Amino acid sequence: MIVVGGGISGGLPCAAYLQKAGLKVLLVEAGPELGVFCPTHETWPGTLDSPHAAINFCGNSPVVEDLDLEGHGFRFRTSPVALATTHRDGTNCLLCHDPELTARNFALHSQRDAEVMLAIQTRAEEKMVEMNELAFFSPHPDPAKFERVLDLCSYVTGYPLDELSTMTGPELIERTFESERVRQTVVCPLALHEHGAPLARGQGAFGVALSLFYTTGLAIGGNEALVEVVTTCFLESGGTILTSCPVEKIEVQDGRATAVILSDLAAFPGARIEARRGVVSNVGALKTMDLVGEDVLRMVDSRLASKIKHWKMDLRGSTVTSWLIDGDVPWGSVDFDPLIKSSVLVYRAFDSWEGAKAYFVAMLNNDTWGSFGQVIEILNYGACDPNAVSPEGRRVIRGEEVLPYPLRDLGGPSAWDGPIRDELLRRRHDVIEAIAPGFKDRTLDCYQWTPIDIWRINPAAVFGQVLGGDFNEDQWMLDRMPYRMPIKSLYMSNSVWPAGLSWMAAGYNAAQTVAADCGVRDRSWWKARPTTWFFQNLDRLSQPLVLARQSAAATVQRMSTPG
Amino acid sequence: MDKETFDVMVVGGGPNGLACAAYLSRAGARVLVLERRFEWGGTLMSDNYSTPFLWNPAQFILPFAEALPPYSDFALAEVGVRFIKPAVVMSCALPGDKRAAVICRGGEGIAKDLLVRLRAVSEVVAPLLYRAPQPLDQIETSLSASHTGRLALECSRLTPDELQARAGGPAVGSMVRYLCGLSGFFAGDHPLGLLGAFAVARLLDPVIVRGGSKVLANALFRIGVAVGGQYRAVADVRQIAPLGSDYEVSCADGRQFRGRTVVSTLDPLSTLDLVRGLPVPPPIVGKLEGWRLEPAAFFTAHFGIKGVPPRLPGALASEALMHLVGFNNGAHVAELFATTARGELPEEVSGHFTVTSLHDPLQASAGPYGPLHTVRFQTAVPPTPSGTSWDKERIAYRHLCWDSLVRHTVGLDESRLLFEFAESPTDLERRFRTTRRGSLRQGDLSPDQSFINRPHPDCSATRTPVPGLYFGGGSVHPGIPGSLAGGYNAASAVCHDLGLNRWWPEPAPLYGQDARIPVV
Repeated sequence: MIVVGGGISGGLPCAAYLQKAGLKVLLVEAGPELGVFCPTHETWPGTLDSPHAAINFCGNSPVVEDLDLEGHGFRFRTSPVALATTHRDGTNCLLCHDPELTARNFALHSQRDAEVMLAIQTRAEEKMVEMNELAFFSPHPDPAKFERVLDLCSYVTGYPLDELSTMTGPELIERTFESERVRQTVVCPLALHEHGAPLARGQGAFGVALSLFYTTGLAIGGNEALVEVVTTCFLESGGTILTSCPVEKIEVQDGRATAVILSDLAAFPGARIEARRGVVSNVGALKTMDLVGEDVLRMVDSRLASKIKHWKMDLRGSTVTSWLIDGDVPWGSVDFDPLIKSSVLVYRAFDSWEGAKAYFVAMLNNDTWGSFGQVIEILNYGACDPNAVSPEGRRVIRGEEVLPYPLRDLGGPSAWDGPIRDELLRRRHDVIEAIAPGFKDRTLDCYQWTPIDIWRINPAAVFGQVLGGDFNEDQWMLDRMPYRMPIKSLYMSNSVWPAGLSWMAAGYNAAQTVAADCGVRDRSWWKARPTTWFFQNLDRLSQPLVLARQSAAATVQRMSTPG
Repeated sequence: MDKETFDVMVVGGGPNGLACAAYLSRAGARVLVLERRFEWGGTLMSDNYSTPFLWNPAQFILPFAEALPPYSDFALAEVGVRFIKPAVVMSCALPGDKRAAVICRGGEGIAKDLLVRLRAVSEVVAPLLYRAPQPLDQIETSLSASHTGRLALECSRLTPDELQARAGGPAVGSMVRYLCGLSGFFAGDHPLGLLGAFAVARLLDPVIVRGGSKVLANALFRIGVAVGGQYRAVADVRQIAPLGSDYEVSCADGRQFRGRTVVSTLDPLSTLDLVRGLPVPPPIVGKLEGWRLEPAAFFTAHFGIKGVPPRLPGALASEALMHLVGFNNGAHVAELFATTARGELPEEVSGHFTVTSLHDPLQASAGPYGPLHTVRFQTAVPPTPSGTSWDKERIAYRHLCWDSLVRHTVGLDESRLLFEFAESPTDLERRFRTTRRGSLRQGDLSPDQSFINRPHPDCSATRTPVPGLYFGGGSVHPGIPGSLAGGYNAASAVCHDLGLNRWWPEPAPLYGQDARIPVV
């Protein structure tokens, strides 16, 4: 089996599972490293930053137990707060892993909302494993499971399915919660544009429901630790890795994927590598069709070829900023609920509920400055991982927002390289300052990636779309790439459902599909269920990691100066 | 898995630690590598494409390519490790020069007289790296027996000033003097010694790793894992303590590991701190405590630019790996080194730049809206500028480096600058910790700190008087960065002492007819 592309969400875990299950797997990666969007950076010495895959969702993943990641040295920690929002008026909303903690915070906004959320989260907890299995860790399209997922959405939100099916995300939230800040918080995940089109009737509401089923945490040492440990498992089982080997073509003979051809830039220029059992493509819909040849796909499935040809990728261009700060981030809402200090994942989430609704419209209308600064996903790694903080007490605060790629109102996409870079940085700094007064004073340096930079890092992330494709009405659960392509022995682990994230669901699902076809699925170790590891070990995973201070002796500079 | 008693615990997952672990794992040892940082490779770090430009702040150039024993021993070619060997090494145009002088690969461009001596050093020292060191008088005796050996000895007695004077002109002399600085020799009047001259000579055949130096580290890591090595990152080892006949290693986060032997690849100061509780003899401790670092270091900036790469005015040397810029006359390089060795920050920045992506297209993204290029700029600086700190000066000095680049090249301006990144000696020290005061080689390579004196006769062959404790990093023989020899030699010693299977061949002669290093 040849896996093209070693990303953390798809290719790498897929390869690890299949090799462990007994297939002979070659993982071929164009870049020098695996997990290109799951790196850890030590941009400023002593500090750690995971700028792309930032918050870690592997708590949802069966991979942790199936591959025994902890036994290989992987460490993970979580905060009591799964997701926080903090506001300019000095308030915050904390969605916690424990529904009681959430309720306690929400009650500061509205007692009614607290009770409603408690009921919702309790129901979600009840269905946590089942929903994850049906919705995220099953290879879609699977209409039967899809129906069951919608039923669960209805159950958890408390609305009859036929009502839910006609609600947008904002409508659902407006009808369910009364407090503005609570509404801004619950709609926040939708702003990531990965759960479904927020303003689609039905899909928007379902997206809100689905967002209740995530766990969050951090890989200790940064997210690259996850890449390293899955790589280790793959290699231990006998897998082969080739990096710096871009693939130029996937050879299809008699309707079957049979080999890959490496490009002239590869370490083995132009090499043809045969794939006896098949090829898994992690490079996404557009690139895969490119590798296979549009005409080749069109002969087999013309409709799919057209779908891919018009595959949309430009709704949510990732823009990432990393700030180096001295000390901790000075959230303005610490007095409101001090638990914000333990929060790793904090959102700047709109100025108002009306602002939230306007944001979704602005995104659809390619309105750059209208979308800007409304939702910023902020990571404070130091709240969970002391390794991320330098001995001098410095840390990185990372912020991501998504903006429409086209920049039509500002000169077109090439303008991403121009003065807008500095303008975005300047204005974003103001936005953060407003929710964390004193942030600017503590900022020592910063670094930014625009959607074009993101695209340049990873050729599969066209337009800076890091999730394999927009999540709109045509590109949702049943309508994303099938894991099993109509070309025989060709599988996809990107542009699929669900979003490519550190929960490694795409790779897990691709592995399930391939393993079923190859008759190697039935393995005694391949049995973990999603989220069980996280919730069974929640106490342990919530324990803060403590580092001993550097001994005095080591800091004494005893080196003599040369004569 | 972490509860077992390992055969070997390697402290430090840099190039030497990774090499050592891979050799021993394949020999059948149960090996654990503990690395303080979050990633492997130490100074082989190159920021892996997570910007569109590749940063290589530390070990950018290697002394060997395919001649590196691990390359053939581990068949690194099969996993895609490739080297790039630029045909033109360095260029320098002093004001008034009609054209830039260049040094080509192999040293062509340097006066024949000096060049033949530098090549002799390459030839005779290479075989000495991957084995235990002999006393210097023995080395000298055996070298005196051959013509090449005598030439090498003559070269080793030269000082940087003398090298410069014999190089064949002000521009070439500047380049040769600069290469001495890059090898850690900033003072003009101390003889280089055999290893120092060797380090300079190897810069005449510079090697860069395709895709960035981290590719080499990745390959060693993956090979080690595939043969059963255990690797733990963010493992900040704080202490090695005896535990019965074994050792217990304790980390800052409370993790503890147990093993029969320990190989420390750390710098002397860090090593001393770790072995506080062990009976390391005072003479060794004294030598480590008094270990000398270089008086100056380098400030490294990277600029990610859009569009065509910068070129030198009237350039005929635009394909050189390194371009010297900002030097006003033949004495200027020495002045720069003297200034920085005194702790002063030069106001005008002179140094060298490399457009890495011209030599390795993988060091910048192809696009979109390309072409993109990485420009790597280095200049000599004091480890700590007197009266101030690198924390205060870093960003301003980065701007000065950019200004220097713009001033001395054609076609660059601010609008083409997409990313900038700078590493001062303080940053290097904070990043790797073994790079004290920005020293990439864990201490200078002068004769009194090389061969059996690196660091001390009782441990320069990696074994220490403490049973089961070995030193295997850059501060043990030979100390040539990028040679991986410290780790290789430690692996040889441990393999022998534990009675493991020495599966890898003796290092080839590395000279003469079987040369894997080109001599001519």
